[in-house]
Amino acid sequence: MGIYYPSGCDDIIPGHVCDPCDTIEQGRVRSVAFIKNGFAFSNIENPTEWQAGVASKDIILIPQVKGTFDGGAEVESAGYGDQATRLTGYNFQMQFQDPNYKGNCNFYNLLKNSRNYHAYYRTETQGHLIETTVQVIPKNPVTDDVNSEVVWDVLVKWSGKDLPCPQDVPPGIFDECVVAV
Amino acid sequence: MKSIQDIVDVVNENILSVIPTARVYGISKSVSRDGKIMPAVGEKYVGIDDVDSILVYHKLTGVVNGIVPNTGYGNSRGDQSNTFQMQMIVFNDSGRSKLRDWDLVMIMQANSPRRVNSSLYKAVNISFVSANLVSQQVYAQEYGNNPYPLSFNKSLFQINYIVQAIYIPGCFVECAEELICSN
Repeated sequence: MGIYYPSGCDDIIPGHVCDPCDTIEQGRVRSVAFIKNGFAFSNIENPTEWQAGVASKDIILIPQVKGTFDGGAEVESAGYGDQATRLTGYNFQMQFQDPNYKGNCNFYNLLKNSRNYHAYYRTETQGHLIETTVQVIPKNPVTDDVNSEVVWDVLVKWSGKDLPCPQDVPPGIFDECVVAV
Repeated sequence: MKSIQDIVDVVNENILSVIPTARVYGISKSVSRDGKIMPAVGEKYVGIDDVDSILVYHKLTGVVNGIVPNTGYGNSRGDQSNTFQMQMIVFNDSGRSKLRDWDLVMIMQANSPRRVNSSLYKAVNISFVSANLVSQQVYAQEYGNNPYPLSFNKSLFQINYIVQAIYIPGCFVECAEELICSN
């Protein structure tokens, strides 16, 4: 009996990009957006598409946050052959704080019930779109400090095979609040 | 409430609420008049006189700027903090006020606001730091080399306090109208 190993099933690994003069990307999750499942960008760096999404209420912008992204906790399963384990995906967590506390209780109480949104987060100059829908877990803790602020403390969780990739942020989209009407 | 002068006005209002007979003035400066140094608010002399048993004026001696840690959102590194270094100069005629200097310091400290609401600033905190009860020193600071004129029941003392005003850069009038970010 012949043994058939399909060819061409390995992903093609591109060349590594090396630039000693590359500008660094500075940290903090600075802005967050929630994009309704089914809304598709033809060019995610185009601010016109974002404006259209905001106008049609398919995109929710939260321009000013501070937060972290954990980079993903690896999920491994049993390996084959000489590999003891193999990587099957990641469990991701992003956590951010939203300072607009008083007006957003209803917003977060409803958002947490939805599994119909993708998340997008911005670092200094780069945006990262999450390809799978996310679970949003908001909290509003209060500390015993009269000088502290009560803010929304939001955990966003998802699982996926790939890491979110950086793309240029659409100009002007995250510069200011959109006033609710 | 938009400036340090407005905040000083609140401090003065609190002083008057517990010492109604005090005369209070705002932020003064040392000015030269007829070759002599004296305190004034604008053109008005606010120093020692024979009329008031307790007289209070303030001086702004400096501003220290800093960033409040862990307060930045978006691209901001954090809220800005202006710490105004203030002096309250108090003339006390204890023969008429019936209050000793250190009792007066205690009364003022106990009845001064700790926090003031402001449409301009995110938070305004007031803290007493120290007091200088050496009358000759304070007089020399305020009146220069003029001979010390105060008798045994009159004194000039100084209360040092700070006003920490915290604001979000670029967010004064806008924040006062409470923008709501939503879909």
